[in-house]
Amino acid sequence: MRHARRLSQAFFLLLFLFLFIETAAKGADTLGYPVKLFLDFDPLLFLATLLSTHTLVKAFWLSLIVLAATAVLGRMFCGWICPLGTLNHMVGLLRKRTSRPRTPDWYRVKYVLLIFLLVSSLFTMQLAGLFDPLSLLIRSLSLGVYPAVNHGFYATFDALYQIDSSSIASIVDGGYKFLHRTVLAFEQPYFYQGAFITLLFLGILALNLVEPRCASGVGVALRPSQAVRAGRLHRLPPVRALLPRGGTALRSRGLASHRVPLLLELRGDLPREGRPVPLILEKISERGGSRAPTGSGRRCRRGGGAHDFPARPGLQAQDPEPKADPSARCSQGTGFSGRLREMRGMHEGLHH
Amino acid sequence: MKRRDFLRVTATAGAGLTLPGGVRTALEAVENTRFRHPDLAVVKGESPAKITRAAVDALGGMKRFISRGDIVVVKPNIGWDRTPEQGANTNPEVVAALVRMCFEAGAKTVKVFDRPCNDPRRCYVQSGIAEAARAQGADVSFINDRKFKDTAIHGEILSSWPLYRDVLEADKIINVPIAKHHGLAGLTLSLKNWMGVMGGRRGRIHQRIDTCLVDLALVLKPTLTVLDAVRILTGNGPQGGSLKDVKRLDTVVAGTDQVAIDAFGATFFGMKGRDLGFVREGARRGIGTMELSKLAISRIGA
Repeated sequence: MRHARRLSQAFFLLLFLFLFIETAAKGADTLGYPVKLFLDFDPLLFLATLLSTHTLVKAFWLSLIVLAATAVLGRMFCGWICPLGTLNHMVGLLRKRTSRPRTPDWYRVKYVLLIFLLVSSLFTMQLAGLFDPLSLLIRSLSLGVYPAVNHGFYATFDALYQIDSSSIASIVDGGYKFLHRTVLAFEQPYFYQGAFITLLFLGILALNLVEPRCASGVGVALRPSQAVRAGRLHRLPPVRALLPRGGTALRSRGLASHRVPLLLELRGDLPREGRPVPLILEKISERGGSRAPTGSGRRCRRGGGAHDFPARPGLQAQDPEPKADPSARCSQGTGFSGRLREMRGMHEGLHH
Repeated sequence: MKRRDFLRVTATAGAGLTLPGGVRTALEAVENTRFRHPDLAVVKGESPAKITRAAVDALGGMKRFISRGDIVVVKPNIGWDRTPEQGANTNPEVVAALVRMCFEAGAKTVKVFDRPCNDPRRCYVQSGIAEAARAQGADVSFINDRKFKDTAIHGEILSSWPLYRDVLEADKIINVPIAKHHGLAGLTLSLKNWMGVMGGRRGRIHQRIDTCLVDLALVLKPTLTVLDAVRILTGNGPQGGSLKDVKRLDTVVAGTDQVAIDAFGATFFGMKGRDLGFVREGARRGIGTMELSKLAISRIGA
């Protein structure tokens, strides 16, 4: 499944880049490729356009497919398709796997932002393009990254063409013609504020080194802390063991042991090899891992409040170093009930 | 040179060598008039490709100009974002026919390019030239600014200018302009077409366009020139745009003397060669001849 998702991510990223390159005019009156395909599938733009113009733009009807898929499969778009999500994941893989600084819960900002964007759209101020992940990526690539890449190539060719040797000249000329025909811009593009937009974009990507995130980290983004945790959960076959007694609907064996990891993965969470497992397991492992009396629990060491959480018989702890995850919920004073809410939230998300 | 011509020349020369000087000269003169190719071939007909071929054949065929293994540059006018019907660029079928003939004559590579005034991508596509020339196997490329080479010209005004390397390094160059009205130069014909291989701020030469164009002709010497008058632009040149300014003549003019071709081209517009500054200047400086009466002109289909 992980390979399938990575293949899917690679495919859509390459498709996105191909369409991006094909956006360049070639002299004919039409471009020849559906270059705005990704934007057509963008529900945020669909909604914002609908609210601000009071019209149903036909092209955007495609985004209903994404909405439908999200209702069934969760945030499939983020984890399987979104090119910015893929880039985020790639950068996230570079992250040092030691410790994560404790971060305040900034992630609710995205809901405020979403509401703001939609409400402002309703009053005809359409700002979705500023934050929409696809718009952000297209803007950053076309105004910043692509000109920079071109500059690198063209500067190299400037130097190579200075070499006064006919044998080299033919190779250089051939290479230039090929690249010019395929990936390079027809002429070196420059844009005012291109450097600023590039830095902003690199900054967004670099945030993955601090904490992995999906999409642009706002709006439709998957909650990063969830992503991390869910990614870890995925590695643990007996997911049902994590669920509290009488907890949620996820308790049923089918959902818990099979569909939940599947769905979590569909949501775009990169499983991480060798990452610490969630605190909930750490606690269980501290209790010996094999048999613990039902209903008893351990006190969260760092949290303000005392929270009991249950241990389950037969659970094998998989983390040799339980203290490696300082961002555990209990440190924020929410403890297990916080996690429980989160689990419920994820579960509810499946059916939205 | 055809085999028949070769035999004739060698036989004549051989015979001539055995004769006393005076007789020999007389014989040579006779041979020259009898077997000389025409200076200009003017061909009229419906198919641009056919009349182009007929015109070149009338001059002795492409093999007279192109040798086996040659790297050839065919330089049309692709200056504007205009369709063939608008008559602002060289007719694509004329260009394609020349490319084909070059390959038939044994050319190794045929390069086609121009430095347009409008967006090159638009010009190459809208003119129809890129597609037509590529279909015949031409290497159609956009101008690469890194390939201009400062070239000594030693002209009256231009002492040197950056010119396109591919033109300078080609074995043979063929000029394929279109006959058009031009707001500044009067008309744009074959001499002016070479502005398309000039780098830098070439617009500067518009200050003294006639002298500069003749200066350029000192270094850019085409083996063959084919003037496209399938459609001519009679006003609002060089860019045109309105079909009202386009006149269909279904004619091409081929020759080796650019000044003579431009003098002949002027007649399409009711002018004479001497009405054009660059033609006068070219004739004065010995680049070519503008007196049509002194030229052997072969007219086919006209």
